Amino acid sequence: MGGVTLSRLSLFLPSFAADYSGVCSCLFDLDFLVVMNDAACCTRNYVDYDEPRWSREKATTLCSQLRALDVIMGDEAGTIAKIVDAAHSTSPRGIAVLGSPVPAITGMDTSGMAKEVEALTGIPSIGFATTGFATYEQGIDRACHGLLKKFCAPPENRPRTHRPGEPCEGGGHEQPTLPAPKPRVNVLGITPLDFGTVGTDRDLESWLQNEGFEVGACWCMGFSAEDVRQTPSADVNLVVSAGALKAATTAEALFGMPFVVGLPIAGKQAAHVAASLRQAAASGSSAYALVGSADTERALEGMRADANGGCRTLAGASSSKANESMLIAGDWVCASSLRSALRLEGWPGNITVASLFGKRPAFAESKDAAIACERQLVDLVRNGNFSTIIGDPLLERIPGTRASRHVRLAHPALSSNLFETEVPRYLTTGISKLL
Amino acid sequence: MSRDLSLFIPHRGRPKISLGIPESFDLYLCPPACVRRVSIRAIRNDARQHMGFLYMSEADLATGAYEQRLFEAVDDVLASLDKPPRAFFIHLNCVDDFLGTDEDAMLAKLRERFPATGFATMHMNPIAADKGLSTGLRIHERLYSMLEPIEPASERDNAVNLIGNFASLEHDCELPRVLEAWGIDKVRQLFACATFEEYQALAKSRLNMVLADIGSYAAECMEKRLDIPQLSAPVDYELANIEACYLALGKALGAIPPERASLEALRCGSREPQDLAEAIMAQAKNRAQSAVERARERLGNRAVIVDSSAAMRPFALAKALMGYGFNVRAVFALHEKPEDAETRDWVLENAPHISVVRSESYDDIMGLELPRNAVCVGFDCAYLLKAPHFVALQKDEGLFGYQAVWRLMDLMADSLASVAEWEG
Repeated sequence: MGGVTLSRLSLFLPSFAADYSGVCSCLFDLDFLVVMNDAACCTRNYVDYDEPRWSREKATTLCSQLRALDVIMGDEAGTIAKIVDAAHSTSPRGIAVLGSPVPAITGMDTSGMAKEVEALTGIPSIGFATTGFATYEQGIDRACHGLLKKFCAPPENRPRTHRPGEPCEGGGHEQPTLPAPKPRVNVLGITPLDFGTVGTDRDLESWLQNEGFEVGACWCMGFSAEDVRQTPSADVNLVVSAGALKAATTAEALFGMPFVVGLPIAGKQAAHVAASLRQAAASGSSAYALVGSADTERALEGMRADANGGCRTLAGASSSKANESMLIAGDWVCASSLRSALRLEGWPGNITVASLFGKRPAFAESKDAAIACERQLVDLVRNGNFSTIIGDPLLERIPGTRASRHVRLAHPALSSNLFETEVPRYLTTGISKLL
Repeated sequence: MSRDLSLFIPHRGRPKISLGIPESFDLYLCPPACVRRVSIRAIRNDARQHMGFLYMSEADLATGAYEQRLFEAVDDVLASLDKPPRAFFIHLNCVDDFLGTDEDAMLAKLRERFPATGFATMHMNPIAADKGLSTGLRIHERLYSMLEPIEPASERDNAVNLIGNFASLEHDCELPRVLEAWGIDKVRQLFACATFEEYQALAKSRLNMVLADIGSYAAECMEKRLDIPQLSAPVDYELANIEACYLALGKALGAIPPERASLEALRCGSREPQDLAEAIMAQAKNRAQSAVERARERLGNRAVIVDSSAAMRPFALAKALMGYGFNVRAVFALHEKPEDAETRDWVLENAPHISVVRSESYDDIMGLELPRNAVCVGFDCAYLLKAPHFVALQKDEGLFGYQAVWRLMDLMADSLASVAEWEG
């Protein structure tokens, strides 16, 4: 096997959560009417395999029951009429019109449909040209970007937090009687597709509060349409998964909001992320809270100095492991944060990050791999000589992985609900325990 | 099916089998998203090793390159397998309806290259639900399409095929014993076949019993192509219909004279059964009747709601329950089938007090003011009502004949002994 042709053949892993699932997941909490333009299967995929929060009282996505004749005749008006009818009976805060494979290949104009729906209902509507050819993180990206553009405006009173070099109110003199406001932090990119429903969303909020931050909007679990509108009023965005990376840069461009990329995994990584957030809020500069990337080496030095004696070693790690190599496969931000946590705790070996989802981000290291197809993953495992592989339990199906120690961290975007209890709770489980 | 926007009831974790032929391989040629549930289900059912996915890109579709990629993928799949599959299915999804793939040419080329392997296409395209046969009917037909006609015809054996069901009959069902008493040596079912030879033996059977309408087109094609006669024998919960079904079955097998109008021993309990088969049926019927009495006693006038996730013909089930004296209050016909239309009309005409729910809208259902303490037969209605008493019957699976009645009755009576917990 080899070559371009094979790159699309999958023999071991399941199909991944699609872009439309990413959009639906992101919009789940917002009291939106989400309409999937498909025959049935796409909606069924999302409801049964990609949305653990779906319940009797909370069901957001409806299927348009697209039929061949609708497509052949280009009958978008029929679907629009159904959406308008449903909107009148449910009075949602917003409406989203999504595409699926058939609309993608026949050129259905979801944005145009959304505009028409908005004109007819007066309800803010967004079209998402999802295709089913792309994976979930691209859907999260589309949804976050669409919400930012549609609902957010630059705040009137930025910055809230005093930044070095900037004059304070009252002619540049400190005002000791008023305590400095807590930096307000939004979380971007937390969805069940990366973090399941084990409680990481609540852990993140608690952690932020304990670290002295004010919690802003938590995109995309436990937030509201009002939270979305208030998003630009925060001081900094914390990006915890790759699907939100572009949203963070968009918010930076539109509203001047800095961002920090990194998951605060329990232990030194969490402290590193907290320090990065404080610095970003104060300086207005974005940062990657990922040890090993050029941006964060300096921060690591600072932490080492603070720790007065440098890093202690991870339990079980020793110089004998210095020649060992590890592969972490998963979402770019989660996997890179795990690597960062391991390094901070003193793991001496080489660590490669690979992701089946999305292009190489700016913080990727030279040996990291954006896996475009199953074949590339097979080759990476075969040639990498990894002593340890961290990732979803289904990676065991990839030839060659059984020769390595496998640390099972379930990733629902890959394995759906097959291993719900094996989704890690990153913020409360120390890296030693995870491993 | 309603053409309004449709709300889906989650089926997370509910077991669903992966239908297939033994020693076969299924290659899905489609956009990646289309096989999300197929692939997860296959892993859950430990069937992924017989399955491959060739993901189309949008560029492949624009250029038509997917056809060439398919040939190369088949090469690679066959090279990767320890043993070549006996049958190779190429699954095409909704997008293919708009591509104009030349299937005949594609299959001819594959058969020429790999003469030892049987190739066929299968369409999973709900987008075509508004025209012709349903996806389910066509998929069932394809599953039997690899059967070779037996030559000579004298090799036909004394076996009966069950068609259209998705699970084996439960061990306590009387049907196999009745068939044995009528001289039938073997009951064959597609998903019980462990080898391709066992699968091919389905072509030797002398009768196809169609237990669910989803198998009717397959049986019709098998009758034409393989000369196997068929008998429609849908799962039924009404005692008179069950007797009529056994009578028709006995006649189809030559075990009951064509002129006989009824099974007397079943109709008139005092009469001695004429043969072993009748004795088995009479005993089964008695058990069913006793179960009905017990369930009636337990439920009293408590409301009962039935839905199409429990039975392939929910209106027929409702009619049967009404006949036993149960207080049927609603039929959830979220997935209504043409084969249930006659009984639907009967219910609408004779029981206008029964609510018929065709919408999955929570608000619509709440508007009906259905009692929360009803016994809900089927997951969908139980989920929507958060019903405390729930019968987890799924598509009549494992049931047939009188056993279907006593099993259902026992489940209904038992449902009062526990309280279902619902999230959300």
